[in-house]
Amino acid sequence: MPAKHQLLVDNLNFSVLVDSLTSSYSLHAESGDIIGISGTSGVGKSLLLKALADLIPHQGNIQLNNQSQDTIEPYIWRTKVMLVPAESQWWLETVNEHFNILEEHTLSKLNLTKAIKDKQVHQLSTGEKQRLSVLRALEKQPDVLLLDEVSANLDLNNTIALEKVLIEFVQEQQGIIIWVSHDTHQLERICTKCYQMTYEGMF
Amino acid sequence: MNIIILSNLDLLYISIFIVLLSFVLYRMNVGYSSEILIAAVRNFIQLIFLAYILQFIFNNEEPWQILLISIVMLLIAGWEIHLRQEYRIRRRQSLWIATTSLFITTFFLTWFSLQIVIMPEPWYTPQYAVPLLGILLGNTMTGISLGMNTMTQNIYHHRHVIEQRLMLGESAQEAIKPIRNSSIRTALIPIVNSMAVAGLVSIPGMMTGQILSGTEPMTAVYYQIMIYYLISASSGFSIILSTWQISKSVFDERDRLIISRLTKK
Repeated sequence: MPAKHQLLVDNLNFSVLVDSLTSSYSLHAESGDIIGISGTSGVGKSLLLKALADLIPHQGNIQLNNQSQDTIEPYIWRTKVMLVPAESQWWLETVNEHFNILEEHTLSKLNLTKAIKDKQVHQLSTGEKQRLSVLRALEKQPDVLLLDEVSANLDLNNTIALEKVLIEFVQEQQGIIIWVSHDTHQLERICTKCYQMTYEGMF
Repeated sequence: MNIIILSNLDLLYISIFIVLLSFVLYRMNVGYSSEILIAAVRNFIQLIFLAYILQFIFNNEEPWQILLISIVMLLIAGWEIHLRQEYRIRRRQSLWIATTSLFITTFFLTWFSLQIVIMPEPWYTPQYAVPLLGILLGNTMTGISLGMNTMTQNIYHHRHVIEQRLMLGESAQEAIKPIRNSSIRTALIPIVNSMAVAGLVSIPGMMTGQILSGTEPMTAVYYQIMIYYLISASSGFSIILSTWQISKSVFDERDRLIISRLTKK
C-alpha cells in the first residue's frame, strides 16, 4: 500500500496575478479525500488549481507531505500534484503516442475500446479527450489530482464510470483529488468535503 | 581592365523606368506608385551618404572610426529586427536578444575571416572589414528576424500545449524544445536554399559587383563562396542563440510559462 499523503494550503492568494482577487484561501486534504469546489464563473477556481500545480505566480504556503512547494523542483512538484485542465491538449499525431502503455482493461473501465489507441487526435470527441486526459494523468502516478471540469462533456453513464476510476485512485492508491465542478449534484455524490469558493473565501 | 564609371546622368537614364513603373501602377489603381518613388529617392540619398562615410573611413584607417561605424550598423540591425516582430518580449528583451545574438556571431566571424583568412594589413583595413561586417549583419538580420518571429508566434499559438506538457511533469525546456527546433528549421530554410541554388538560378549580388568592376570570375567566386559560408554560419548560430534566449525568457524561475511577457505589436 502506498504511503499516505497530505496536502496543506494556507493563505493562498492571487493578487500578484489579478489585482481584483484579494481574498486568501486555505485547504487541508489527505489520502482518500475528494475535495469538491464549486463557485460562480470568474471567482478563480481554475486559478486555484493552477496555483496548486505551480503554473501561475501566487502567494501563500502550499505543502505536500510537509514539503513546501518552492523547495521542490517545479517539474517534480507537477508530477506529484497533477492538473487535468478543462480542455486537454494533444500534440502528437495519434492517441497512443501520448501514453507509455495504454491497457485495454483500463480503457474499458471508461467505456473506451482499444481501437481508440490508433485514432488521430483530431478525430477524438470532446468526451473522449476528457476521459483520455484523466488516464494520461493517472499513468504518471501523481499523489494529488487536480480536476478542472473533467466530466463537463460526458453523459451520466460515462460520468459515473469516470467517477468510479477516480474513487479507485483515492481509495486504493492513497490519492487526493481536488475537483472543480459546476455540477453540485456530482460533488455531493462523490466528495468527502465540499467547498463553495467566493470572492471572500472558501466556505 | 578599366572600370567604367557611372555618372549622375547615367542613373537618371535608368530612373526613367522607375518613374514609368510608378506611372503604370498609378493608372492601374494598384496604389504603391508614390511608395516606389519615395523608396527610389531614399535609396539614392542613403547610398550616396554611405559612399561619403566609407570614403572618409577608408582614407583615415582609424580603428575607432571603424569600431564606431560597426556598432552603429549593429544597433540599426538589432533595432530593425525588433521592429519587425509581431510579438515582442516585454521590457525590450526582443531588442536585447536580437542585438546580442547578432553581435556575437557577426563580430566573431568577421574578426576570424580578417585575421585568419583574408589577412589584410592591418587586419582591420576598412575596405575589407566594413563591407564584410555589413553583408554579414544584413543577412544574419533576416535569419534572426524570421527565427524570432516564428518562435514567438508559435509560443503564443501553442501556449496551451506548452502548459499541458508542464502539467504532465516536463521541464520548461523539454516542453518548449519542439517549438524551438521547428522555428530554427523554418529560419534556416532560406539560407540553405540560397546556398543550394547559387549559380544555377542567378549570379549572386556580390559576385556580380566584383565582376562588373573588373575582377576575374574565379577570384570573385572564391570570395562569394566564403561569403556564403560566413552568412550561413552566422545566421545559423545566431538563430540558435536568439531562439534559445527566447525559450529562457518566456518562463519564470519556477518554470511557469508567463505568456503576458509576449506583447502583440
